Amino acid sequence: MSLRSQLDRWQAAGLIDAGTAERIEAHEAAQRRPIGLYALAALGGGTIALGIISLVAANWDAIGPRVKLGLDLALGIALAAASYYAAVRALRWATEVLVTVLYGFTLASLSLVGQIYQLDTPEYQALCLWSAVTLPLVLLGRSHFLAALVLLGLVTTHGFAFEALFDAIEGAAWAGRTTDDDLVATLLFTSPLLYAVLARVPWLVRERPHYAVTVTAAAWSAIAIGGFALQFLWYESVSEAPQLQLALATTAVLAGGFVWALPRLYPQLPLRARQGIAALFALAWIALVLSTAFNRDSLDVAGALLQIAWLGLLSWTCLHAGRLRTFNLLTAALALRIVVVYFEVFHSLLSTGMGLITGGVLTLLMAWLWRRQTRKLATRLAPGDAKGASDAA
Amino acid sequence: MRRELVALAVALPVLAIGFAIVRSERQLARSNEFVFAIGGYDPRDLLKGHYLQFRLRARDLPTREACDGSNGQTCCLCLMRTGRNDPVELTRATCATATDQCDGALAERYLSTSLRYYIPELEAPSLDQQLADAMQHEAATAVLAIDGPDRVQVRELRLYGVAIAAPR
Repeated sequence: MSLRSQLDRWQAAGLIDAGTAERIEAHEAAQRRPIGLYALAALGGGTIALGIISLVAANWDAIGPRVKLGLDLALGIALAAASYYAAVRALRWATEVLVTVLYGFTLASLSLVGQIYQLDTPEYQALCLWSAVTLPLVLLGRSHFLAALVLLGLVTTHGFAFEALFDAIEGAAWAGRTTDDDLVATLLFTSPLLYAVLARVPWLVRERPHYAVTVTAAAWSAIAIGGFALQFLWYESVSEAPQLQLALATTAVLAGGFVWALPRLYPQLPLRARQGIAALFALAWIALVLSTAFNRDSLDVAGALLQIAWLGLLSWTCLHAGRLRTFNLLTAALALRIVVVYFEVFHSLLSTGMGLITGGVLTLLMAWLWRRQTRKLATRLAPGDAKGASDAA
Repeated sequence: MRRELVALAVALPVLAIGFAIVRSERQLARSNEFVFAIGGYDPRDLLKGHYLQFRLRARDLPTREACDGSNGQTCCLCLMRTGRNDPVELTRATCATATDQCDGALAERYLSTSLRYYIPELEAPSLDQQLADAMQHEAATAVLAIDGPDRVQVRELRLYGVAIAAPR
């Protein structure tokens, strides 16, 4: 609904007078940014970058290698010069487009060099070089789109680098099975925390707020999914405990350090929300210890219950952080998980009509309860200052 | 933002591309070329464009010098040329010996590593078939430019003695 329609409705309901409506409209008009234009510009830039990558991948058979490399360098210099011009003249949309194109062009060019010289360099090395040399460049941009694109590039580089590292550890003479597991567990546990901390670098928050928001959202999504996925360890039996040794101490220190730094990282976050985060990390760590430290059979029920507890605690934390939309999403996931528990426990009933009917009724009941209770809970539990502020932040 | 920093930010990616080209050229200039018999056919991997994948072939690998790879020692292949276009003779030795006493030295791990050769997209299906056929008849060779045991570039693939087209 447009702002004008909303103001008309509020005026008709007697909530605001005509003067207030005009002042709100004038204020919003002054704040307005050409987001659509930025998005279109970035999208156009991204498409051009993809096109260049496709051209390189398709091989320009008709051109000799030296000419090809010369043209590539010339195009790179032209793009760099245009990006410089746009950035120093503060031409926002042009900077977004050119930076996006140069970002993609750099990867395409490194691939082209690899093809022409028949280099057999592992993918992660090229990706690491690409991510490193384009980092200052992408910080010239400001849009959500470019932030998401860069994050995708970083995460891809991260993934390839970890894959190579894990392979190297696995093949190393000095690494036993426990060292392997320890290093893998520590690195996986640390990765989302690293992004969460990076997103709160003061310069980034102050100068590139869209980047900070995008990286924060991605980091917390990874933490939420990682904590949920961690409980699947309970679905496996453990016969050679302890599977982890050093990782338990390292992750405890890292999680503790992160919780300790919370007031600095998120000074605006209410105390209850910070307590929620501390409880989440405690839950994740305890689950990691208990699920790997003792020999046991698979404990599916424990895994399912801990996943429900994880989602519940996450929802509670989001509510106190004023993230009502995320709260609604998480409580929906919680209701869905409870329905899945029913099917996990009574899966044999799925082949009977009665089982399906009961499952369907339970699904409807959960949907009804979710709809009814989330609103009540949001009103009852949310701290006054968090209400409504929520997901705009 | 200061102009110098902006200039640095936009120049770095182009400098990196230039650096990659210069490094590759320098490596080629320092390298010696050796012909190897190849085998081990793998389908092309679409993830990294179009290339043929192969392994170096060494039916017998005589020991020139004892080398214990599990003991932290790096083992190499000692490369001895037999003729201008014939595959090199391979023996196993320590890298120090292979570097000092042989025509060339190559890390032993290359025997178990898949190497890639980029080819023009349009000719990919037929070259794929030709390579598989030549490997079956032990008539496929690769020319590698070697600049030290761990620095290798594939220069050429030859099927029945004839070089196949690389991207120009």
